Amino acid sequence: MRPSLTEQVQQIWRYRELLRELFIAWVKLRHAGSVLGLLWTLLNPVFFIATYWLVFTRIIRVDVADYPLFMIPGFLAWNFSVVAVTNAAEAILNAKDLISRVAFPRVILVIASVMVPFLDFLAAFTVYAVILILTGTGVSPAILSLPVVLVAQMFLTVGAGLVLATVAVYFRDTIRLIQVFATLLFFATPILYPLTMIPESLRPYAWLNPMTPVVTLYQRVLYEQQWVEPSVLFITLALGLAALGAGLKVFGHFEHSFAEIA
Amino acid sequence: MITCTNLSKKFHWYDRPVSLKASFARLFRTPAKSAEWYVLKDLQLKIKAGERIAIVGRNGGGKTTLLKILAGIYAPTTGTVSIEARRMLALIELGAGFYSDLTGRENIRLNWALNGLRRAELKGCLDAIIDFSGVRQFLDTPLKYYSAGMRSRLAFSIAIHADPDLLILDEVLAVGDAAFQEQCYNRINLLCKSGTTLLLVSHNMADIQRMCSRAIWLQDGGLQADGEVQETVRRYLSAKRS
Repeated sequence: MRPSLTEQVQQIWRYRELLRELFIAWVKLRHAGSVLGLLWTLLNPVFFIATYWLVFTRIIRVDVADYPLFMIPGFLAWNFSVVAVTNAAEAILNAKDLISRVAFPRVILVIASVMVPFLDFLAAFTVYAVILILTGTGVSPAILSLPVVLVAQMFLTVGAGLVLATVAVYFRDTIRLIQVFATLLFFATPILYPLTMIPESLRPYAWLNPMTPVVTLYQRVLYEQQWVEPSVLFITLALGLAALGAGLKVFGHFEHSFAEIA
Repeated sequence: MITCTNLSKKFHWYDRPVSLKASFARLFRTPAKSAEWYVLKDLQLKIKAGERIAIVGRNGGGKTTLLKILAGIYAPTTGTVSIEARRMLALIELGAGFYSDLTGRENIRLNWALNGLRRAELKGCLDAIIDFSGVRQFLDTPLKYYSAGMRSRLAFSIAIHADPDLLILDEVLAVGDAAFQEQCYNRINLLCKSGTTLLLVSHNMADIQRMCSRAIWLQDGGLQADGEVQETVRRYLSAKRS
C-alpha cells in the first residue's frame, strides 16, 4: 500500500501533464481579474529591488561593499523557499474537495505549489541580472554553476514542503508555526550579513541551517563572482536530494488517508 | 475485472486536537471520546468485464465509500481490491476539480489531466466534448457564469469521451434537462455495448432498471442482495416500505 520511492517518481512522471496544467491554472487564477496580470511577476521584483537599493544606499549604510548587490540574491532565494514551503503546506488542505473526489497522486499538488513561486523567483533573478549588467558590475562565467544551486534548492524546498504538507493535514497550526519559525530562521541565516560576521565560535552551527549553504552559494556566484568548488556543489545537491527523498517517504506514508482527514 | 476480497472500511471519529492548545490540553485529561464504525464490512464482490451494475441502498449504506475505494480515493482498512481495467474513470461528483475563475476550455484541459489522461489524446476529441456538452459559445467564458446544468454537462461530456473501459458514476445522472439526460443514456448505452463496465450509484430506480442488468443492495456495510436488477430493486423497494 505504501508506495516505494521508485513508484512515487514514476507516478510523478506519469502525471507530468497534470503538473503542467495545474501550474498554468494556478498562475492564471492568481492573476484572475487583475489588470496588469502576469506583468506583476516582473513588476514586483523591480519595485522590491528598487526599494531595497534606495534604502541601503541612501539611508542605511552597511559596511559591506555594494551592499544591495550582496544582499538581494540571498534575500530572493530565501523568499522563494519560504513562500514555496508555506504554499506547499497549505496545498493539501486547500484542495480537500478535489482530493476527496478525484484520485491522482497528491504529490503533484505540492510540486505545483512550489513551482508557482519558483516562476516569481526566476523573474526576480532575471531583473537582478539586468541590473547587474546595467550597473556595469556584470556577471562572471561562475554563473554557470547557478543551475546546480537552483536545482538543489528546489529539491530541498519540495522535500520540506512535502513533510510540512503532511503535518499540516493532521495539525493545522503548522502554517502559523512556519511563519514564526521562518522569521527566526531568517535572522539566523547569513542573508542580511555575510557569513564571516558570525563569531568564529558559532560559525559551525550556522551550517546546521539548511538555508546557509544555499544562500551563501548565491552570494558567492553572483556577488563575489567566484566559482564554487565542485565538491561543495555536490554536497549541496546531495543534501537537496536527501531532503526530497525524505519528504517523498513521509508524504507517501500518509498520503492514502488525506482524502478522509483533510 | 473487479474483485473485492474481505473488503472492510473503518472510519474513525475522534476528538482530534486541531490546534496546539487542544493538544496540550489533551495531555492533562482523560483521552477524548472517540468512535469508530465500519462503513463496509467483509465485503466480497466480483464484477466481470462488460457488466452493468447498479448499487442501491439507503444513505450511509456504504455506496459512495465503495466507489471511492474502487476509484483509489480511499484505501481499504482491511481486505484487498484488484481492478484490471485499461482505463477507469470515476465521476464521484460532477464538476469536481473545476475552477470557477477558469474558462470552460481551460477547465476541460485541467480536468483531462486530473484524470491522468494525455493531452495528445484530447486533441482528437476536444470538438466532440464541446459539441456533446453544448457549451461551445461559452467556451472562453469563466465557469462562474455557467449554470449548474452547463457545468454538469461539461463534466459528464469529458468523462464519456475519455474512452473508459470502467465507468464509475455516483449519483450524477440526475442533472441536466430531459434532453441532455436522454443524450447521456444513449451515450452510456453505446459505451456499454462496446464493452465498458458500468458501476452506477443512483436513487432513481427507473434509471437503474433501464441501464443496468445486475444490482447490488448495500446495507450496513454488507451485501443485502446481489443479483438480477428487477428482482433486487423489487426486494429493496419492498423492504423500504415495510
